[in-house]
Amino acid sequence: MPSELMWVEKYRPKTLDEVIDQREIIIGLKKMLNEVSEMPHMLFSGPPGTGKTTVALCIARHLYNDAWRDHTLELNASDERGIDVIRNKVKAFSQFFDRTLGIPFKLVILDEADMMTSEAQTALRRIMEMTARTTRFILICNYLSKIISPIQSRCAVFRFKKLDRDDVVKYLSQICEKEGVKYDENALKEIYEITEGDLRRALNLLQSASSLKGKITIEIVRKIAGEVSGNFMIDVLETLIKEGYSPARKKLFEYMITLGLSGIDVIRLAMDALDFMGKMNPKIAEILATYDFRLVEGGNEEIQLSAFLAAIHNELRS
Amino acid sequence: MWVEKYRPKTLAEVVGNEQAKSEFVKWLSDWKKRKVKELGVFFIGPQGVGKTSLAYAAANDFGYQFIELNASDVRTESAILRKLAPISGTISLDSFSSSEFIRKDIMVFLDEVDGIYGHSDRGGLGAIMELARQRNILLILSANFPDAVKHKELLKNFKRIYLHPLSPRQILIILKRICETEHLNISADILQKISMKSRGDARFAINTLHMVAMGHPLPEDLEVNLTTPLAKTVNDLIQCKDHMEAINKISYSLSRIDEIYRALSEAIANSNLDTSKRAEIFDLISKIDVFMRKIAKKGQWKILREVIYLLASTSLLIPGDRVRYVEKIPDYVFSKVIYKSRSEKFNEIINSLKRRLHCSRRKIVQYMLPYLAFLAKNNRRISGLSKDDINVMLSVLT
Repeated sequence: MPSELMWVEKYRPKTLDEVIDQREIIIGLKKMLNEVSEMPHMLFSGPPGTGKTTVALCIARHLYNDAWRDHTLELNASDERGIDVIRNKVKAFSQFFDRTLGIPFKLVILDEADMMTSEAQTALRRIMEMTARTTRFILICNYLSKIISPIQSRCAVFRFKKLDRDDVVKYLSQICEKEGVKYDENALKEIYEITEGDLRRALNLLQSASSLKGKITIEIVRKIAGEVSGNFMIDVLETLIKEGYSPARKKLFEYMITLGLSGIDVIRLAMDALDFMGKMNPKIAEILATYDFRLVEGGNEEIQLSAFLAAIHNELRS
Repeated sequence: MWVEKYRPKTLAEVVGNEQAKSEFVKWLSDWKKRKVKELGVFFIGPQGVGKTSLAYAAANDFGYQFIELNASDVRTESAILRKLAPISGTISLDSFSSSEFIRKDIMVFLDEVDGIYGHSDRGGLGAIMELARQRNILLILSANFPDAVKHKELLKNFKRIYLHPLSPRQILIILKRICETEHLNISADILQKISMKSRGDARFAINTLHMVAMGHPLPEDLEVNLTTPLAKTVNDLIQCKDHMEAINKISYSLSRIDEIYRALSEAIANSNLDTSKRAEIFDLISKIDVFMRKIAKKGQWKILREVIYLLASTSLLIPGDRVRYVEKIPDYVFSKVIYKSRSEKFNEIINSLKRRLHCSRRKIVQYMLPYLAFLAKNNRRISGLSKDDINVMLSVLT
């Protein structure tokens, strides 16, 4: 059987002209890129799946063509353990700058910058200043308000908006044509609704639906969405309800360690899982916030997650 | 014998006793350069902590021929020379005349020195010492408890290296490795018990595992240990009825505060307390943990007193008849060892997906893996993921 690429990978735009929607941003960016050496640091904010990372990668390609990987450092704040790791990587990356290559500067793309504490962001600001001669940053975040203002003021800020339904449906239908997949127009609209305009999830859902034989219909889309939109925390929480605390805790550790997730990742996934299960309420939200905070404060993951699970258990029971 | 089959072949495979390992390696390279005055090395440590393994692995890594002698071999000088005959030829013969013979340096490992020295075996030891003195062999001695008086000469002439009992976690790593190679399916509970109860003795642990694998039940006398210092402190604390008493227990315990509340949390997690009680106690332990972190990170020692008060009043909340602490490897650490190879595999898969798809680990887990699993279930091959990768993924995600 021939193997295929994930469609999010296969159909990721390579140039700014191919990007879906976000027209004002694209116009603004193109103007800015006319005079490359003047390019400022940039800050992209907006909901997930709206093209922030894609646009950043398009800029990298625009600047360096095929050598873009050599001159671009991709970091993800939620995966790098602490600001020191980021500092060292950026430092090592920006240190050697070869003017003879004819590139104006190197590019750092820092994704999920809003996952950083304000202390870490202050340190980041210093890193940006120290490496300003050789390096430009593109920071990416979901929530602009979580980025400290000294950083905001140093960047050209671009607000990505939720993708328009007609644009997404049109795009999905084009992909269906290319892939030779039959579909109902309504099914594509349903995909948009379910994925809340997140193009990454929309493409994944579409590709999953295409793996079943026959035409893509609303029913199929709904059925698959139910199967794939969950995460392992649903399993943990169901174990908690059905079998009790101790087995659920062991299961949580098993998943967390196998998948290499941080405690903060786990809280975030628990939030989505609880939401998906229809269990969200102010009390649960408070528990999520409390343990997110305690983990950010440096609490031990084993202790904090054990306590978190005990608190959620108590709340689900009452 | 699994003990022999799974003896580490290289230093990298030796589990635990890192300090002894690096001391030994340093000494060995100095010895090769003739920069040391000692005749050899004297390993001191209880049984089953890896004295023979360390010597054997180092012999392999450094290219020595390894010859093991134990107390019974060292009866007389003639017995020794007989034993060393195959190699003593290379020693006594003029090395110029045997140029075709590829000479390998020899490491003689003499076990249980405390059992032989000072008896009639002395002649044999003397013969070996003489060889060592002439630097014809590298002599490694080993003993459990050296008698300072009897072994004065040895202690003076040999570089002493101390080895310590392995931690339960390290024992577990060894057992897990064997289980994987032998494709054994032994319950987590039994591995946990063996690791805890072998008291740092890897040989005992491996032998017990072998027995269990052969279908023997776990020996009954491997009773749980309630009297280690930590277990005693924690169980006393759980039984406390008085605030002052609890504070004293914490203040005068040999265990660190973070060890105590971690053990408490483990006991609470595996007890059958009411959910509300458990949540209440865990909330306090969680706060204590954050405070301790502040103390450690920012040096706010002035709040330590309050933290001890808080820990004391937390333990008064624990119903003494419902909770008991049995010292064992914490569930979290246990999972880390048990799922190590699987998590390494996942790490590879996730990292390659991260590079391809430009998103964080959490997003891969949340927005990619479920779809990948779905596609795989419907027999769609995704490029860059091997069949093996897919199977690992499906085994966890469905």
